[in-house]
This record gives sequence, C-alpha cells and structure tokens, in this order.
Amino acid sequence: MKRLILVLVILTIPLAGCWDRVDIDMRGYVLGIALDAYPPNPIGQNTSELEASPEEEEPLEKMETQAGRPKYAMTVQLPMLKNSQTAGSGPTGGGFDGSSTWEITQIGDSFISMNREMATRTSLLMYYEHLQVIIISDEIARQGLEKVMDFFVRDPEMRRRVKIFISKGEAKRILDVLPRIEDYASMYLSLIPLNVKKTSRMATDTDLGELIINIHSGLDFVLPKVEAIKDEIKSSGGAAIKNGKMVGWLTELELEAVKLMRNLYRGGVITVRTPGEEEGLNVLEVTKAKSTIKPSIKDNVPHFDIRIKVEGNYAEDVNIHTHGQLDMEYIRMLERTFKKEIESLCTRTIKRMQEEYGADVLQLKRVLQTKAPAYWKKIADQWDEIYPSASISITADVTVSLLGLET
Amino acid sequence: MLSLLKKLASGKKDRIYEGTTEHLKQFRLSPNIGDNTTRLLDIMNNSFDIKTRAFKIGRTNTRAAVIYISELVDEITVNNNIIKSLILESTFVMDKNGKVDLDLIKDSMLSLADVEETETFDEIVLGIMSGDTFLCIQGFTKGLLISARKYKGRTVGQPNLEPSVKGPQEAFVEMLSVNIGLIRRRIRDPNLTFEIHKLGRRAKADIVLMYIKGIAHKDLIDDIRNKLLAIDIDKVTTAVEVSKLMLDRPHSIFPLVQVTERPDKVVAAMNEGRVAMIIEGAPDAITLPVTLPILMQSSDDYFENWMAATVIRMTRYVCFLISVLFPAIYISTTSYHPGMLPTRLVLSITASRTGVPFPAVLEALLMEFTLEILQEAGIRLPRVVGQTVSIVGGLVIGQAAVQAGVVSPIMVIVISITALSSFAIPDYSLSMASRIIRIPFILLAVTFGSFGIAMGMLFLLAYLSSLRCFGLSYLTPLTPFRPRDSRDSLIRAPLWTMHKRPEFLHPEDTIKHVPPAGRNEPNDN
Amino acid sequence: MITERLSKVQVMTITVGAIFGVDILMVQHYMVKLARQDGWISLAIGGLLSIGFAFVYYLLAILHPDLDLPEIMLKLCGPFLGRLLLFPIALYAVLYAGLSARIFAQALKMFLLDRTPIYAIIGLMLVVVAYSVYKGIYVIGSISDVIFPICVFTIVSMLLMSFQQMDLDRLHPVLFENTDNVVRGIFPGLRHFLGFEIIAYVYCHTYRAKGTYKWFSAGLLIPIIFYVMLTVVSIGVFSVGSLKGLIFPTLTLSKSIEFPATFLERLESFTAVVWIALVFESLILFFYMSVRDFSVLLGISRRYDKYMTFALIAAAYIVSLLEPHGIQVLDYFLTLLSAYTLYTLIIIPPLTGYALLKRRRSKQ
Repeated sequence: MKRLILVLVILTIPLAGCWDRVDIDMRGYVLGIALDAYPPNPIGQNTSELEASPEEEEPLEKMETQAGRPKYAMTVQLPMLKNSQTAGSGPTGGGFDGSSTWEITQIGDSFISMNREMATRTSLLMYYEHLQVIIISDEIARQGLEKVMDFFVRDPEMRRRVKIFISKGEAKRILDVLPRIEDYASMYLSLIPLNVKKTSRMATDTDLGELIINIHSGLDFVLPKVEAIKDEIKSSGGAAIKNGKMVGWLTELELEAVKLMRNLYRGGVITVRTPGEEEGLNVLEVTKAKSTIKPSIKDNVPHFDIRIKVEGNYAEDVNIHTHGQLDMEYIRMLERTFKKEIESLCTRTIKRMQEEYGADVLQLKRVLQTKAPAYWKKIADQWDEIYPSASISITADVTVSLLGLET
Repeated sequence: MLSLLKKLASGKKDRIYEGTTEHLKQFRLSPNIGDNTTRLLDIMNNSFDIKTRAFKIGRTNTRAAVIYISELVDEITVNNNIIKSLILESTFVMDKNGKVDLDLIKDSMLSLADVEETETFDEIVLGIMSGDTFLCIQGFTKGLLISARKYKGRTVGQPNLEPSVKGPQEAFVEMLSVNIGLIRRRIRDPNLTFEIHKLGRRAKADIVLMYIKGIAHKDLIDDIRNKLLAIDIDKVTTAVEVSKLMLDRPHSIFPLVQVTERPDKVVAAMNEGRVAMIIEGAPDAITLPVTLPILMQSSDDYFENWMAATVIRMTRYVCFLISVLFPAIYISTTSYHPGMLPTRLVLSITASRTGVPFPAVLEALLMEFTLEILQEAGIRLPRVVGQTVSIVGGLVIGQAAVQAGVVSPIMVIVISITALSSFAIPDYSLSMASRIIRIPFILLAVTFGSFGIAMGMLFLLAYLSSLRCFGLSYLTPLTPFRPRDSRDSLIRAPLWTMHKRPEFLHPEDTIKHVPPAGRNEPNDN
Repeated sequence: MITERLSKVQVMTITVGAIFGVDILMVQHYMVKLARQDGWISLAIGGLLSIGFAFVYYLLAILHPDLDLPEIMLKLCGPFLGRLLLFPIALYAVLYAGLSARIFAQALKMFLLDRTPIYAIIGLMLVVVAYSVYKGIYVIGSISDVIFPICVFTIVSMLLMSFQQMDLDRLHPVLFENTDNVVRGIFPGLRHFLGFEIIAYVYCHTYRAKGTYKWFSAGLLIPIIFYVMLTVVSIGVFSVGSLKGLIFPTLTLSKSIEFPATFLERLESFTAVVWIALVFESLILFFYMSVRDFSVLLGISRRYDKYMTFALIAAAYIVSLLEPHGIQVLDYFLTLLSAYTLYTLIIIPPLTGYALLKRRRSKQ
C-alpha cells in the first residue's frame, strides 16, 4: 500500500508540474550583449548608420517606458543555428542574408524591462547562461558602470566568468562583425583573451566576477578595449576605470606596464633598442614576471616600492648581428637595457595615471588596506587627493635565462 | 510475505489434497498384486505411459508385477536386471516350499544400486512418478522401489546467458544428477554437503541445498533450510521461484539472489561461505545471500590481471549508473540546465533538435519504449529471424525516425548508449532492474531537473541500503564499510591480498589462501 | 540472524553528516558579516570549542551505553522534569529540519529551479527523507556511509579548483583592530557546528568499541577543517565586500569554477547534487533525533517510533512554509541556532556532571 502511494505520488508529479522545463530548442542562447547609450552620442563617433531617426526606421526597437526615459540600447546576439557551420546536418539554404546570428536591439530605461520587452519580439526564451561577452560602449562606461551592471550582477543566469569589454565607439558594431573562422562574433571575441600568454597587450582577468569584486571593494581597474572593422575584431589596450566610471584609454604599452606592476603579466615580449646601435633592436620573450608592492609611510605620505622580477628568453635581434657576442657580458648588458626600458615604461605609465586620470589602476589602495591598515584608516576619506601625489619607485630585475640559439 | 505464509499455514488444516499423494498414506499394499496394480493404475488415472508387466517368478506360481513409467526408466535395465533375473534365475531365492523370500530378492538378486522397501501407496506413487520401477510380489505387503532411471536430456553445453572469455565453459543442464556431478567434480571435499528436499505439493521436485560445512555459517544454513521447509506450494519450476518465497523483501525490484548457470560460480560462492540451491528440471542454480557488489562480479574478473579487472569492474558500475540515469540526465541538462554544457555542444544539440515535434521527455519515453519492444522481440523471436529484429530495429527505425524528424539523432545516441550499458551489467535481473528504475528517473528529471535526479538517487540509496538478504545488508561491504572485504567490491584487489574469506558472511573457516612462506608478493594477479 | 550495529566508520560519517547542514551554503557569509576578513578565525575557534562541547555529549552517552539522549534525560531527571527539559530540544530538531529544508529550497530555487514552487521542492525532499527515517537508524548509517566519500571528494576538489582564483591578499590584514569582532564571532561560529549531539543518539546503536572516540573526533574535525577552508577560499575568491552581498557563497563559488574548453565546463549542477545530498543527510539525522525525542516524550516504545516520522514530517512541512519572506527565514534559522546552542550549553554540561557524580556514588 505504502509503495502504491509512493508510485502514485511519483506519477502525479509530472502531471502537476514541470514548472521550469523548457526544451533546449525553445531557448534563445544569448551569446553576447552590447550596451550603447541612447540616443547615440554624436561627438566624434561614427554614427552614420544611426543618423536617421531610429524611431522611423525601426520602430520595433522602442518600447513604452513606465518611468524614466529611454537611455540605453541593449543588443543581444542570438545564434541562427540553421545558418551556422556547426549545425552541420540542418536543412541547407541560407537565411535572408546568410548571417548566422541575429542581433536584436532594444531601447529602454532598465535592462530587465528591455530584456522582457525582447520577449515580445522573439519566439524564444532568452537564456543568458551561455553569455560569452558583455561589450559596453565607452560612452556608457564614462557615465558609470555601476549603474548598468546591476542587472548582470543580480541575475542568477549570469556567470561570473563572462568577459567584459569596452568598445571604442558603438558597441553594437562589434557584434555585427562576421568573423571568418567562427560563426559568432561573441564567441570569437571571448576566445581572444586566451592568447594572453603570447602577448601582454591585452588585459587579463576582466570577467564579470572580477568587475563585481572591484566595484564592491571600491577599487579602480582596467577593462580591455575592443575595436572592430567589418570582419575583424581587435582587443588591445584598455580603459581605465575610476570609481566605476571610465576616465580614459590606456595604450597597449601602458597596459603592459600596468600588468607588469599588478602581477598580472602572463607572457609577452619586451623590445629595446640596442645600445650603441642606431637601428638595432633586441627582443626579450618574457616567461615569468612577478611584482611585489611594498608600502611605506613617511610623514603621513605613502611611498610605494614596486619590484618587478622578469625572467625571459632572448628571442630575436633585429638589424644587428650578435653571432659570437652572446657571452655573459653581453647578456649583462642586455639585462641592464631591458631593466631600464621596463622601469621607464612603468614610470611613464604611472605618471599618466596619477596626473591625467587620477585612476589608481595599480590598486595601491588595496595595498594600503592590507599592508598598512593603520595608516589607511586615517586617510581612507582622502585617498583620492593623496593618490596623485603618492611617490612610487620602480625597480626592475631582469634575468635572461636562455639565449635563443640559432638552429 | 509473513502474512502470506500465515495464510497458507492456516488454510492448510481444512484443505483436501485431491490428487496429491498425501492422502495415500493410509493405503497399504495388499498381498494381492492384482489389487495393487489396479489401485495404482487407478490412482494414476490409467495414463498410457504407465507400463505394467505381470509375470511369474522362476517357473513357480508366485506372481509378480513391475510398474513403471516408460519414458522415465531405462527399459533395457528393467528387462535385463529385474524381469529377466526374476523369471530365469530366481530359483535360489525360494525356500523348499517354493515360497519366495523378498529380502533375498532385494539383497541378492537385483543387481541395481538403489533398491528400497515400501509399504504405503504414497511412497510407491511418488517413486513411480520420479522414475523408479515398482516391484510387487504376490503375498507380500511390501514392495520394492528399484531405481533404474534414465532421463533423456541435453548434454552439458556452454553457458548462454553468462558467457566468459576464459575459464570453464560448462553450464548446468536440466538434470539434477548431472548438475550435482558438475559441482562435485570441482570440489573434492567431503564437507561439501548436498541436502535433498522435496518441494511442491504436486510436483514434488527434488531441490538440493548445497554448502560446504565448516565454511558456511551454521545459522545461515539453518535459516535458509527453515525458510525452505516452510514453503508450501504445489509446483515450482526454478530455484528463483523458490527463493522469491523465502526472502524477507519479496517486492524488491533488485535481485536478492544470484541466479547462475555456471557451476564454477556456484563453487566459488560456496567457497566464500554462501549457500546454493538447485532444483530438478531447471538449468540454473541460485546462491544466497547476495549483495549488490556480488552481482557485479563476473568470473572473468578473476582470470585477468587485477588492474585490468579493477578497471573493467569499475566500468561496470559506471555502466549501471549510465543505464539508470543517462536519459534522465540528458533530459535534465537539456530541458533544465543547458548552462551546464559547453556552449558549442548546446548549440549543436539545439541545431539537431530543431524541427523535432516532441518535447525531449516524450522523445525519450518513445525511444525507451521502442527499445523495450526491440529487446523483448529479440528474445521471443526464433533465432532464425532474430537477425531481422536487429536490422529492422537498429538500422531502419533509428535511421528512418531521425530522417523523418520524429526523434533527434542525439536522442538515438543517448538511448543506444543506455541500452548498451544495461547489457554490460553481468546479472540479467540487475540489468532488468536498471531498465525499470530508468522510467521514474526520467519522470523525476522532467519535473525537477537535476534536483529530481538527486532526490531519486537518494531514494534509491535509502532503498538499496534498506534491503536485506538473510540479514545481510545489500550494499555490503561498501556500507557498512568493511575495508578488508571491499577489496573485492568496487575494485578487484590482487588475489594474494584477499587471502581471507569475506568477513560479512561470517565464515567459520576464515583463511582462503596461505601465501608461501618467505614470499609475500607472489604473482601479480 | 546477524545483529546489526553501527560501525566505527559510521560514527564518523554520521557525525560529519549531522554537522554539515544547510549552513555549508552560507556560513562564510555570516562569518564575514561578523568579523570581516577574520571571520575564519572566529569560525576556527568556535569549531575547536565545539569539540569540547561535543565530548560532553560523548561522555553522557558512554555513561549510559544502552540509552539515547532523551532516555538518558528522563532517567536522570525523572519523568516530569526530564520531559520538561527535553521538550525544547525536541522542538528544536523539528524546527531546524523545517527551516533548513526551506532555506535549501530557496537556494535551489535561486540557482537551479527558477519557477518551481517551494512547496513542491520541500515536498519531494521530505517524502524521501520520511522514507529514509522510517527505515531506521541502520539505513541512515548506510546512507551517510555512501554520501560521505562523495561529498568529501567534491568539496576537496572544489576547494582545489578555487585556489587558482584565490587572492590571498584579500585575507589581509589579519586581526587588525578586529579582535573584538573576532571574539564576538566565536559563539556564532560555534553554533554552525551543532549537530554533534547526534552522538548521544547513535552511541547506543554502535559496537561501543574502545576506539570509537577517535572516529568521533575525526567526524568533528572534518567539518571544522572544511568550513574554515571554505571561508578562507571564499574570502580569497570573492573579497569581503562582495561576500557580504552573496547569500549562498558556496553555490556561487561552485558556479564560478570553469574549465575553459573541457566537457565539464560548468560544474555547478554536479556539485549541486552533492549539496542536496549533504542537506538531505542532515535532514534525516535531525528527523531521526526529533523522532526519538518525541517518541520518548510521548512514551512510545522503540518498536513503533518509526510511525512518529510521518507526524513530524507533516509538522516540519508546515513549519517550512509558514513564513512567506525568504530573508526572514534566514533570521529565524540563526536565532533558532543561537537559542538552542545557549540552551544546551546550560543544560547538558550540568547533566553530564550529575551523571558522573551518580556513577561515582554508585561505585562507592
């Protein structure tokens, strides 16, 4: 009898429920999100596509807002599986334009309402667990990230490993790119940072989780910059974020310096001019880089001593011939040159950060919080004023461990 | 179970056993053999296969008769060793008056091994029915049951259900005596005990309880014997049926006995301290008690290197899980948590599913049902056309269904892997159980996703650990965890580390293997 | 035929199972709220104190090897006072089971089952719990035996995989102007380790062998190590600031582990199964305790106490659904834990002392 009741219970559950069941083909897998300001800011941006009033051209993109006025345009990228290469056996014959993705743009005041409004335009249930990238236009980033990120932080479907990029110009354009070896621009973009071991000019560890932690801890940080032309995407350099707002761009080299100092360097090359040679260049391929920041307080002024230890293989020389010269003395000389180059690069970068942006992208604030808590307690409120004048000294220590012997 | 027995026991008193031999106890042989033969033929309803041959002993007037069932006895033996010797050579069994001496006939004339005296009709009828030849002589109230059986059955063949790569390739047959021989030949231990019991009110089948005295625990043997004797049923065909009547948990979908057609398995079981049973007329024996890890063992495990055996055994456990869970996991991941899968996999599954009209559950149940049809049809069909089923089922239906867009190719893969896995389970009943519990898991998955599966697993775990087979927990030695015994459970440790018999069976003789002195790590298997 | 007893290993696994509860999903959150980046220190100290407290129970149990806690209480304090003292303990177990089922259902709803109603989640869970408790202590022992290695394996691998995302700087500064908070966090830390009282319920079912206390201590230490490690790792991965905003950091942690480009890209639905198993185990153990408590309270003999299960499951089901606000439930849960910890801290040590005294007197 007991068993019978149990069986009945088990059998009736499916009849009663299946509350959350959505078949896999009924979901729309959002692969990328682009966030733009609305109306698009005309200053210095390429807005030719949107110059005509969007209301007339694509009235579907607008929604009736409950409160507030539409300020944002959110574009989501959905895969069109019947057109994709990966789908394989699906019915052949391209769609209306042969594209394998569908970008839906929605204009509105809050992201959750924009998200829901999109449900009026697709037959699919938007699903964000496979979100690969969030691209934010620099205009929104300058207005403040915190305001727009809240939805992404709260929604349990969002993964903390989603990559965040800041686009120069309109963010939607990045999603429109048709990569040649991949169906989906978002997927393509999210895989680019995997190359971070090869080049140091790309920002690392810039996913949603990291962003949330930085914003929660009130730290300044760098997000990667992304640019695009019709069928290519490039991610290099970064955007400096201060108090949750973007304050300016970092060049590729500046980003490299920041990564060196923040202990985020995963690999890359450093090039110097050969001393005494007009055209000669020496290249070091960095295999290991480690930095430590030590704070010290003198007369209520913080001083930071940054030590960078770099180890690498000698990789290339350009326009000079080093045959027969590769002895210890030459290596010492190279090490000194690399050291000088690193130090000057870092000093230049810090200077610009301190003076021009006032952004504490090295997160010296945290160094103080953890290593000089007593001092931090005193100056916690004045950190923004103290930071630009903080003295920072940089010592690099370069070891050339392997000479790239010619084979 | 208990209540069933009670009911049977209480109903016993006022039930009349018509047609069985119980009530014949009151009838005794009369000195008149004519009466005896008519009565016997009457009891056995004058069936045509009952042969009566009346004759006179050695040219005297003493009449005698043999009665037997022609298909069960060796008629040549009966003719040569009974009838012929009585007719031709029986002068010396007579005293001066020409009187015949029954004892002398029994002791000195019948050159057959098994001769018994009887008086009552129940014994006689049972004897004849079992294939004995009944001899009665005029003037005696005693008769002789002479065993001259000959039963034409299969010869010992290869195991069909439990094939193995290496090792013995003999399987039990329907003849009890042959089976007993198969076992006896493997252990020449006088302690190997065969207890014979008759089971079935009508069938009166011989059932043999086998164990090795001094290894199997006394309480276990007594417990099994008592439960066996308490059974009151008119007929059983196989030993499994018997075991179903003996178990504490008759409803269990998991097999609580091991059914095997391999004599080597039975011997191995007895050698560990378990008890086996085999019944006349069925080519399989059962061993008791049994646990889940025992059912997952296969003879091949012990013929291979221990590392290979361990990997294979673990694969088997994984197969069991796949067989139970895979469709459920597929449904829960695709319909509830597609975020769990890598993005590209999700997209390719989605692409392959577009256009399929049914939800994944229905698709799974449909395929599951088809699979069951195929399996059942494969068993029922004559072997000649058996091939057709696999062609029609595997190729035509699978291929056509995918092309017609009724099911998605990925679902065909899922169900095929599930089916394959269920075949990798060594015990057929266990594999059957895994097929049955698959359905509730699918239903749970479709209602609650992975939470449902988790709850299902926990329920299954509670269920499995609540099962007891003659007091032995079904998951022993995994839980309660016994480090020594678990060397032959999930893994198969090298044989030299398993020098003791499993503790959980409480064997009376614990040592199985004494490693040669001075050599702690002999061969690698 | 064979008399059943719980093995020594089961003493350990049952203890671990009872201590691990729904708190494993959120212990870091509360510890960080109380003592910021030093929360793990409070937790560790609280844990070490809990060992002392646990052995008070152990002592009480070995003084009465044939009785479990409610019977001991009745024996020591007499039928009336004993029942009076027992009642809050009995009530606690039911409330605890109900509330933790509710909290867990909320966590599941947040992370796995968005639209499934809470009553259905709790309902399914309690049906299975009822079945397991109904089957008795040996089945519970077996369940904990199986769940234990799986959970340990999963938690350890989850911690190992989180190490690479961890930034130890986030644990600094250690004990800077924070000692007050750390001290204040010790008692709340202690209450997360409740559950060790199970020993007083199961000891009478064990072999009562000499080395049992070793396994019991192992059972106490494992949760302490895991909780502290979990807190440390969570602070290192999430930082104090964002940990304060995460109600179920353990689930978020398992969600933030990703191996790019492997099949098991996202592990959290697998780990979710393990959390379900852990919470399930603590539920059945607490139900077992409450079944025993109420059976003794109402004078039901051991043979029939399994029928008590159904009444209590119904009670816990109602308890779990009473409060509509999710956040409020968490508050109730913590208050309940604190109240119970205080109550037992007051009641149990004197009781054990009395039992010792009685034993000594009877020896003289």
